[in-house]
Amino acid sequence: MNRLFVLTLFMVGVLLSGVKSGEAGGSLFRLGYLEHTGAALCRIAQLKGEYAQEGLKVELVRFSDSRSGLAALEQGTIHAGAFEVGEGLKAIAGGKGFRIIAGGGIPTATGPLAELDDRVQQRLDLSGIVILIPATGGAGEKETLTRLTAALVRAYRSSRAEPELLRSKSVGTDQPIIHFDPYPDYYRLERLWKRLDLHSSTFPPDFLANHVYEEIYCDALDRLLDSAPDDNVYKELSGKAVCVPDCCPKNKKQ
Amino acid sequence: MKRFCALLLMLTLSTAVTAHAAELKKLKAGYLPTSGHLLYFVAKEKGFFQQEGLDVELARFTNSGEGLTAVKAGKLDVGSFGTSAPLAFIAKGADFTIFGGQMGEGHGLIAKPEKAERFKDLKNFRGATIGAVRLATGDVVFRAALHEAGIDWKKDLTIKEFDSPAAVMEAVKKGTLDAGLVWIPYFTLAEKQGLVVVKYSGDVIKGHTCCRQVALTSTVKERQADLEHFLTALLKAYQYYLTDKNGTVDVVAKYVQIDKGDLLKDIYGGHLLVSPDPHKKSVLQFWDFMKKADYITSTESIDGRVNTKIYAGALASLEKREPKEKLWRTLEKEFKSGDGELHIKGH
Repeated sequence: MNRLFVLTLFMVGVLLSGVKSGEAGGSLFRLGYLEHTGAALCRIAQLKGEYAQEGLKVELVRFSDSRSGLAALEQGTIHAGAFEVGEGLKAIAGGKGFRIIAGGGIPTATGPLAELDDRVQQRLDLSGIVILIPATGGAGEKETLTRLTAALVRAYRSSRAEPELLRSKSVGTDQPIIHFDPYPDYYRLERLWKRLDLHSSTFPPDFLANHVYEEIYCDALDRLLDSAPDDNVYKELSGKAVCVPDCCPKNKKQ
Repeated sequence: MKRFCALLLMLTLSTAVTAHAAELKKLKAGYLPTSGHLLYFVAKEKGFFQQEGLDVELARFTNSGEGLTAVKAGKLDVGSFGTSAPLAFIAKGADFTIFGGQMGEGHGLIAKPEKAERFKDLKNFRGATIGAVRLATGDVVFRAALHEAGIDWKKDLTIKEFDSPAAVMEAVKKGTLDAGLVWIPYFTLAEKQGLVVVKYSGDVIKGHTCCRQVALTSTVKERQADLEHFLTALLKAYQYYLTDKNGTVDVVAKYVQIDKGDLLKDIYGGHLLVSPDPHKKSVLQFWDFMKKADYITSTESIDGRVNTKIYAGALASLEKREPKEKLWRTLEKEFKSGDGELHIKGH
């Protein structure tokens, strides 16, 4: 009887621990996205099961404009969001404290007008998509963000292999060509920051750098390359990324 | 009575020691576990920091990026973390000032013996997967050389960045990388484990700088006198390194735990330059290499980011104290004559 009781207790313990770890791994991550073709990677990742592959349970939350999405990010009703880079940078300059962890789709101007007028592309650059997160996260933030970014890079890889995925996720009928790149690319962001004249004399010189969390992207890529060392897409992305770490040493990878 | 006198003497001595210790200025310095950082180790173990009135705590880091993040956050007063890493931070707005040196060259490309021949020619890097440590100076040296050889490192090859040279070495051994860039002593360890050093960074850019003394500009301004004492201690360590090879190896062995014979080869084998001189001209040239190689984008001039006054002050102070010591005069002459031009070898 005693033995049976102990065994039962043990089984209950095992089951309970399983439930607990399942809950921890499956806590809901709310990812906002703009109804914009440049945010297609977020939706492709869901469609292809990339979030689940990374152990994330993601709920996509659609926004019709970046400002309302950024407001939700600030209020904490979403954990991250894929919104327009121009609006994101303005919010950062306005003191919202957001950080950029990955890139997305950047519209590319085509046609005779674009060739004659640089401002056409400049406007489109600002409507490119970046992935933003709030100022601070809780424990385990880095791991979750690395998984999220890995899922988006996987989605990018899928879109390269199956271009029809992007067409299926495009929004509107008369869209410019969208160039996708999940790399946050600090120097591209800095150019836009300067173009928008967002830098204030009261900001420290590394103000923008402190809001671009490139290391997440590099860690995600490292992880993907470790699992698929011969993958040409991961190799291509890895070859051009240069990351300045900004997390360590207290968050150093184990 | 005898007992009382002994007690009184002990009390007096301990009070004197405490008073002396209290006078020491605290300074926290970051280092990497490489034989190239020997000036720190010698200055600490041989008491040169203490002689200069400093209580220096050495903090170990795995790579330059982590160390500089700690400097930026004010957790370290100074650190010695490459040339490319502080410049990459400066390019992104970090308010760092370089005020001294530590080591130059000291990086190498390692590969399995059967792959070594391929990488002797930079043109054969096309299509290869190369490992490097994030922001490592050797990485930038090779990227600049590839750029010079007409190879676009963003397209023509894959450079995978790692956290540590040990991880790069393991990946080369496993065959997941065709070759890897590591720093001293990892290329010596790699050779012992059956790998080959294909090229040293000094073969690519002779005399390039590596680890510089870096601090926040505000720290340099506020603690100029302390930093001058810090460099004075490093100059004394340099003198020791030149005159006592075995003593130097013994000290370094405490921080870099590898065979002493390997350390001797590492330190005095001709692939490591040791010098506390900031080597301003070389740093400025390195900045240009980084820009040309598309590693950083910046329109900023870094002329004001390299402070040579502190080193000049340290040298002058030693010359005054020891006017007969030829080394200080030689170093001053070298410092005043400036560095030679850095050239990328086109091969």
